[in-house]
Amino acid sequence: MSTLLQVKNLTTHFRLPQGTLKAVNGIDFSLDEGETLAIVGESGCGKSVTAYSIMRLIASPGEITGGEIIFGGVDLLRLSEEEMRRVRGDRISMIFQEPMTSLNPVLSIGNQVCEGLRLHRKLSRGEAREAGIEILRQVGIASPERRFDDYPHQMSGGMRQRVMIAMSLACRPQLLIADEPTTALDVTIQAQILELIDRLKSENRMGLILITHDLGVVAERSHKTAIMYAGKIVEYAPTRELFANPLHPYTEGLLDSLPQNSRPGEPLKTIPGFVPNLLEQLPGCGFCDRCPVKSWECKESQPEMKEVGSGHLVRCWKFR
Amino acid sequence: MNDALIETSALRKYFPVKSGPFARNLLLKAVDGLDLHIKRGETLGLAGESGCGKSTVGKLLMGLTPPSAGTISYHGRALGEMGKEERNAFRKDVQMIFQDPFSSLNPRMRVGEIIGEPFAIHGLAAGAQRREKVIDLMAKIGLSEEQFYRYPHEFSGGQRQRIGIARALAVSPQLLIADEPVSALDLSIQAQIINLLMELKKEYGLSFLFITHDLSVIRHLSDRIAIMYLGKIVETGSREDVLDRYLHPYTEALLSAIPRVAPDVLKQRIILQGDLPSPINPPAGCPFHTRCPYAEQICHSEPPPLEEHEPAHLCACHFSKKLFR
Repeated sequence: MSTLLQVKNLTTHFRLPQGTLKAVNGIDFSLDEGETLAIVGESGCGKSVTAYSIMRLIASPGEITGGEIIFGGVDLLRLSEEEMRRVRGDRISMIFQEPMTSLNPVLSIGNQVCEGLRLHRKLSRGEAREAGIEILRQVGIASPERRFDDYPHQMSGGMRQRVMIAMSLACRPQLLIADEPTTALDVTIQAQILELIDRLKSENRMGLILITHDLGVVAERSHKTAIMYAGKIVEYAPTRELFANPLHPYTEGLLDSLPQNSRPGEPLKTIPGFVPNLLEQLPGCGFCDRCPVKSWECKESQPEMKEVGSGHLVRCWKFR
Repeated sequence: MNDALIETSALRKYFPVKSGPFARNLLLKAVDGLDLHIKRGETLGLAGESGCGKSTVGKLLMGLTPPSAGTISYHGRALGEMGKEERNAFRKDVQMIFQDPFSSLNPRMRVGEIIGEPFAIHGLAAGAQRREKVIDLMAKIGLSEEQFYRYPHEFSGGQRQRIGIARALAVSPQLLIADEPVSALDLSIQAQIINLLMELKKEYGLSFLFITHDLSVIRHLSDRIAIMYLGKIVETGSREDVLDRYLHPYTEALLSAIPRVAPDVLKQRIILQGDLPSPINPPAGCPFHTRCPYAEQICHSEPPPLEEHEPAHLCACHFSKKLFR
């Protein structure tokens, strides 16, 4: 299997009046063709900024300040804006979190689905319409010929998310980034959408980066998992291995706090405290204030990523 | 039932909607004939997909919107018959925790004022006495006295939800209605809030109506569960009855759709086709027949009644016995 995407030491900072916010602070991961990588973390951990960085959609005051994003042998960070625009929406595309706000309300859904085909594939209006209808059919929109000219407000949340998926898949991308694709949806619709993404993925041998905070979705749908905390990946492992043998205290805490892992009516295990303020520069491990097993070292210096098993990496002073 | 704290009977709420300027008024049947009761000290979990009417039930029970038909009785007294004083007492006894901790707190009020406002409204405490009570409440939910003069934007989502809970608790309510209180929060914060709610319930002997779409949260918190579909209850019973020995295909599908962290025995997942039908023009017969994998001829024409299949375990399906027992 060949490597599709390799992210090396990516750092994305936001220069704010109060100081530099290190949203993504040196992360590494890779993705093979046809593989699914889940990125998990709480709000503010940098998982969405990672996605936007790969798409090069970081706007001022944010800036990608270092690292490499190697996709198909090319470092995306070295491409000009013009060259990047040719990649974006064609070979790499993205599904955004909110189907309600990420579609243009004044354009018909057909128009939006076909935009990529017209731009990247230079299809004529008629050809694009035909292709667009076919894609809408594939994502499970009933009578797509009629729905093609509908506007987003005429559709339900699940339908809109299908349209988003159709848009992002129109050009058959090699890499799809899905940022919380089902968070706004009901479980029954979520099951439909995840099933659909999986099916289309295996048809196209597409790589998928799935950003989510739902550990159930991660366990069922991904091959590899990266757990992010305060701008860093703290644990990175094959998904099966991660759930069977979680090593980082944060990962353990997340799994323990699931209602499924306690008896009904008993207090849930919790991780005390809050996510740290990323504006403050702390020398040590970002998790140390909330960590149940911290030692003096944790406050003093940042632990490095250590490989503890085959493909299982963890960033914690417990492992050295 | 006589030991019910709050009880609804044949409760309906219809909203008139227009599809165009000259169109006839249509009725959106958000709640369509609901019989519910919550006993003292009990937690009832109300679950269903978005658009099934569960939030409307919360608003009806709060008295925030009048029912189109049917009654709500509190301590055996119908809400419609209450005089002004009784009504005010009811409003004090029943409090609500909202879903979105970002939009449910007034950004221009200080936290101390937000939590103290119910005291002012019900004329319960003023001045130094009110301040003392607010600080007590803040301690109870894990905030410190120094935070009294802070504004909501200075707090994280989890802390804001705690402030919302403190505000609801201020006037010592009997019943708390919580509409998706944890679904906007991060996982590690969700667990903290769920624990706080369970502690408070024990300490104050509160009754809860817990409205959510998350069945794993409901399993953790509820004594009894009601599953709603298109304005109707399709199954209700004890937690174990509904979640472990369900009788309705919709309950089965909802449970089957939850992604599992430990895919122990990978059962064949039931994936429902399509969306929730529109409550403006609900399907004839059983409302679930359009998506039900087991639907037969009778389901298209005849609505199944909500019947007691086992003691206190009710279900509305023609084929419960055949399918699940």
